[in-house]
Amino acid sequence: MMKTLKILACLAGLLPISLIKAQDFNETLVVPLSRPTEKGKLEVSLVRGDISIVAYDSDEVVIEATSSKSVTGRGRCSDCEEDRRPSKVPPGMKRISSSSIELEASEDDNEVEIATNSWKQAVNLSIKVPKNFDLEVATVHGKLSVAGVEGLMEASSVHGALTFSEVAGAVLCNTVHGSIVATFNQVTKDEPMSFVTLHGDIDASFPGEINATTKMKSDRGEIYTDFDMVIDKSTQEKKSSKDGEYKVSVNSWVYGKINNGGAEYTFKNMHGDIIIRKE
Amino acid sequence: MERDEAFALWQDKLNGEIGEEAERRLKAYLEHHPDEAMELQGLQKTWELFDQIERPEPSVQMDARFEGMMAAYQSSKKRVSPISFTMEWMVKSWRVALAFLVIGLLVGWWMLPSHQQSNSISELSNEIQSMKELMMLTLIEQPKAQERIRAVNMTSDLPNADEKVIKALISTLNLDENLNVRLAALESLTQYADRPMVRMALIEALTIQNSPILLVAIADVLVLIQETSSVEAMKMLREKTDEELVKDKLEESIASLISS
Repeated sequence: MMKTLKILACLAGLLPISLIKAQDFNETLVVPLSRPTEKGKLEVSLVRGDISIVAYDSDEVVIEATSSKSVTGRGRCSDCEEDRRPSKVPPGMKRISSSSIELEASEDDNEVEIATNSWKQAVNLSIKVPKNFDLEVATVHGKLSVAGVEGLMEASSVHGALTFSEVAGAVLCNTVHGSIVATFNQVTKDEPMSFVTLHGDIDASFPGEINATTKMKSDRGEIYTDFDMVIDKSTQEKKSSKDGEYKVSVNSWVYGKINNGGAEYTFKNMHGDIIIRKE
Repeated sequence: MERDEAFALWQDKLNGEIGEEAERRLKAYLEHHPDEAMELQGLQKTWELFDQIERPEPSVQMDARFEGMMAAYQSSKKRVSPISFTMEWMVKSWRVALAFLVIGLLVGWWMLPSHQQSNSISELSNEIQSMKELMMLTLIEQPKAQERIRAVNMTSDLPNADEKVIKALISTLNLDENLNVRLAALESLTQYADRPMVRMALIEALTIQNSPILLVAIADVLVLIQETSSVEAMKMLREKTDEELVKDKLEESIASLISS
């Protein structure tokens, strides 16, 4: 197994850049922050692979990347339809990987950026960040999970579920084929949130005392909540009659006021239910 | 001249208030009546004696007593409540009352919302609107997606937004890197759907966007605003896309638009 680890010299100030080349690996990078006492930000974007982010009690970012040949070059995304297809290994043949994996992490002014060539081969990232962190994470074929982080989070996937557990702050997230589950310990006042998926349930839990205005729409599903919401079905109706036929089309956003109302929380899906829970 | 008149004239003479004519008559009378003249001379002497009597100066105690009585009187006057005093004073001095009336009228006239002021109120609301627009245009450029979504949501307070705001929303719909922000921009644009520019942009967005979430949402909006001219673009997209969901949605939307 060939493995080289190159740590490039810093260009200006604290700017550690690490580069790993490997075909099959399980590697860990540690990235210190230039201002460890202040809030940092993580930016990572994958094409194939899952991302799991956990907050821990430290001021460094620890990135653990795993990739295995057994995945046969595809993402290890259990939700993804295409990954359930049998691999196309011809009978009696052994696969010799032709591609190498690159993992690169850089830090500049408390912003950590992770780059991979996951478009070639699936890379699963397990990242530990300080509690007080903003996130901007995206994957295409893969699941995404965040636990315990406090900050502004942007997350997206296309073929995979999104999970936020015991987080605080505000979340903007979207996926196409996957459900969204989020539990909040606390929310940042006046920050808007948005949870959007096409295929999948949205299940979000908030502390009982939050003030928010929810804006909900589920094309072919149901909306449930145990908050005492003041519901306003401000439907915009367009009526037209032609040859005696009477037609009504309704664009039904449902608005709900939690407590006194406040920042707008959008929940939208097409196939799936929307569940808004009170903790 | 009678005796009584002579005495009265003589009193006047003593006081130095006698006219020339009266003095001459008095003199003539006294020359003819020596008894009365004698009597009057005696009286004059008595008057002069009075002047000589020493008058006692007011004592210190008397001063003090007077001051005390004066103070007592004044304080009893002051106990009258100031309001009733003022009222009394105002009732008495009608000029003051009139002056207050005139001042009141002038102040009232000045405070009445005149035509000019209602103009300045609308100017103020215009200014607030343009401030909001400016704030929205600033926020929508922010690197944080939360800020941009906040900017987009702000437009719900701007039903008469100017072209700059609409253009910012359209470019956000087309170019923003965050899908949640793009979706919010689409929803905000719906409220300006009566403008041709917005309708054109929505049809165009069908060809620009590639996220199935957004394509489905745009199709929903186009059906809502009954934009029948979008049918061609929808048909083209239906042929192009390989997302079954989007195909279904477009099929549904086209049917809905054609039938209406």
